[in-house]
Amino acid sequence: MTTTMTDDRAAAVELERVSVAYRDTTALRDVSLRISAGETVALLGPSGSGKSTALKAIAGFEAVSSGTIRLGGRDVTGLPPAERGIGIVVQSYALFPHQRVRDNVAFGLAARRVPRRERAERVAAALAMVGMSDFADRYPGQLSGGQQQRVAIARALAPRPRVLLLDEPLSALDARLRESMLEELQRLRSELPDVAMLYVTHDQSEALALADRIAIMRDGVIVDIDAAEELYTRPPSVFTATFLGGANILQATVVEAGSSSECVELTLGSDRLSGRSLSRRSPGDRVLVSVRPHAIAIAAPGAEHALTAEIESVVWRGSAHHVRARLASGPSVTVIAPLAGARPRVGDAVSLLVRREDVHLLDEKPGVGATAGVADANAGAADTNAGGVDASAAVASRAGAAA
Amino acid sequence: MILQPSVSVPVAREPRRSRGGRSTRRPTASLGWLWAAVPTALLALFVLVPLAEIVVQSFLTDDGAPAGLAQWASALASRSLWTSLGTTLGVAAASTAGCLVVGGFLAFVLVFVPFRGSAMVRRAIETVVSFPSFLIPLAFVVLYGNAGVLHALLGPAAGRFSFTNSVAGVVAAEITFYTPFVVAPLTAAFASVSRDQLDVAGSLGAGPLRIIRTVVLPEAAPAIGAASMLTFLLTVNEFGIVLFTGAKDVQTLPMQIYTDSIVSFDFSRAAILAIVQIVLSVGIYLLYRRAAARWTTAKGSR
Repeated sequence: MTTTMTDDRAAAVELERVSVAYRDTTALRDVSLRISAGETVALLGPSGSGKSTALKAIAGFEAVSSGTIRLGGRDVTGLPPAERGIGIVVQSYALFPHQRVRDNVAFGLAARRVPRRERAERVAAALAMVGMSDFADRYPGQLSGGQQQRVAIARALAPRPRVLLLDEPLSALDARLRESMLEELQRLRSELPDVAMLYVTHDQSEALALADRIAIMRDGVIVDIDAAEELYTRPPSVFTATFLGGANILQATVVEAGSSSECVELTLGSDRLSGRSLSRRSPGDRVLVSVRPHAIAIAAPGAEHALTAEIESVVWRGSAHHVRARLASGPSVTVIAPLAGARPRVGDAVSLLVRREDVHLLDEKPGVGATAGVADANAGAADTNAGGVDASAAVASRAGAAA
Repeated sequence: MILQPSVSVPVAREPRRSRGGRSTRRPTASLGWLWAAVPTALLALFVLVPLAEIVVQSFLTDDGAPAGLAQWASALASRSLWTSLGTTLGVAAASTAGCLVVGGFLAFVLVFVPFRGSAMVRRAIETVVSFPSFLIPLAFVVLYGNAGVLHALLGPAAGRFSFTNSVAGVVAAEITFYTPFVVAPLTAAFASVSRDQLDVAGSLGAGPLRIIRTVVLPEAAPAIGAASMLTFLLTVNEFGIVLFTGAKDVQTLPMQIYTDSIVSFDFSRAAILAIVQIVLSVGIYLLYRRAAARWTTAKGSR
């Protein structure tokens, strides 16, 4: 597990070796996590990875079997949800259908016995924050999905929690509305500088757009956690590289480690490639490298310092061509080729150009079953980059099988 | 192919057109009502005719001579009718309230307090519906009556607990028998309150009692209304339990009708009381329909 980021801000959420078990199934295993005040952390992982369980444990909806949960430094492990002081937004919105919007938003304030006058002011402020002031007298059934989501956010924020938990809040919305709500959440994020947010999602684009840090979850554990950009550009593991951005994973051999520890020369069969490594490598080391599909350019055959390949398939996806190319060294890779330029044709012999900074050596060592698994992971890379949620999960599970 | 004529009825409203543009109405479409004619005639024969006979009887003397409104005036002026009506409504209201308390609690526990064997308990409660209603007062008498099990165990001291031949006995028996009619809809209503709503309400600072009061009960209100109306309707018309309880001071309308027609042979008065009973039942039924419709709408809007 990678945890490179340090933060001087006060801890809003702390999980210390938290486990959640149901009879003979362990949904969460020894998970430790720290979220600072004002920080947004996304829990990203495929279905069944334990991300929602982690959120429910923090909220108090699931009893932990071991470990400690602290909110604002206070041990809340055994406390009921009502005494934890968190706000939560769930996928189904969970608005109370028999209450008007203003009563829904006032629910938490009434439960905490906030005086009526102050209650009205805070409800108005919360509704204004999400742009729903004009809908205060409506019932949830009279609102669209996006509007209901805004009301759910206002209801969670009205009691002014220090921690806001968001459990797949956009997954019930259509693609267009999701984009718009994503922008709303980004704006909201900037308006709430002291609130710690935990955002549970299986959609990498949401996590990348909103989170300061992303925790990748798999099989009930956090496998990697780091700043979103760091995790995307320098994924530490095959699983993270494929799940976050659908990278191609290739097996190579180090032929030369440059004066800078970052610069490495590699061979893939008879082809040569330059890459970057965070750790020192020695000639002869067998390594795994990740290359993003959009970082590969297709050129005429015979180019120097390029990978020799043959086009296997071309699928037009609107803004780009998704190309599958088989390398001379064996495995296939996915290339996202911009529409500008000649359309690649199946059967063409080509050179694939990749810049050194886009070839990232993974810390993970190639295992016995890694080669086959790598090929499988690469096969799913195109679908992942197309934004297919199910495809992301599929890639993750395939890569998981490889590791 | 039995369903074919009824299926073809809408076709009659929107005639098909042949290639030449001429309307080709199916010959069987206009005869669709024939399928309803036989059951409607049977219904009329076995339900409406006796009802009409009761109405006619209420305007006749016991000798069969026309009495105009005199019988009605006499019956409506009699104190016993209003006493019976009051007893009927009172017993039904008390039984319904008891069913709601016991059934509501049971439904709540079955839905929100998971325990091993809850499914079996639910089925056992539902089984009570299959019993004949008079079995309950009989069982009460066997257990708590003057010659019952309790009396054999405690001797004369058991007399202090004797309630079987009183209003309390009737109400207790009706609560026992009709509680399942409340448990079933309330279990469904409580179960339809989403787990997310309960979790979110808790996270917003609401304790269990506030969640029940402000989330669960309001969402189950239409179901509670429908269950109340159904139970009230059934207990208003209950006859077997009252008869087998043998409580002399519990003279409900059905009991009064039975006494007037079978014991006193006062058919005119029995007919008038029957009409009052029917009007009362239909009124309650209409309220039940309205409550049930609201419940269905509420479920659909979730």
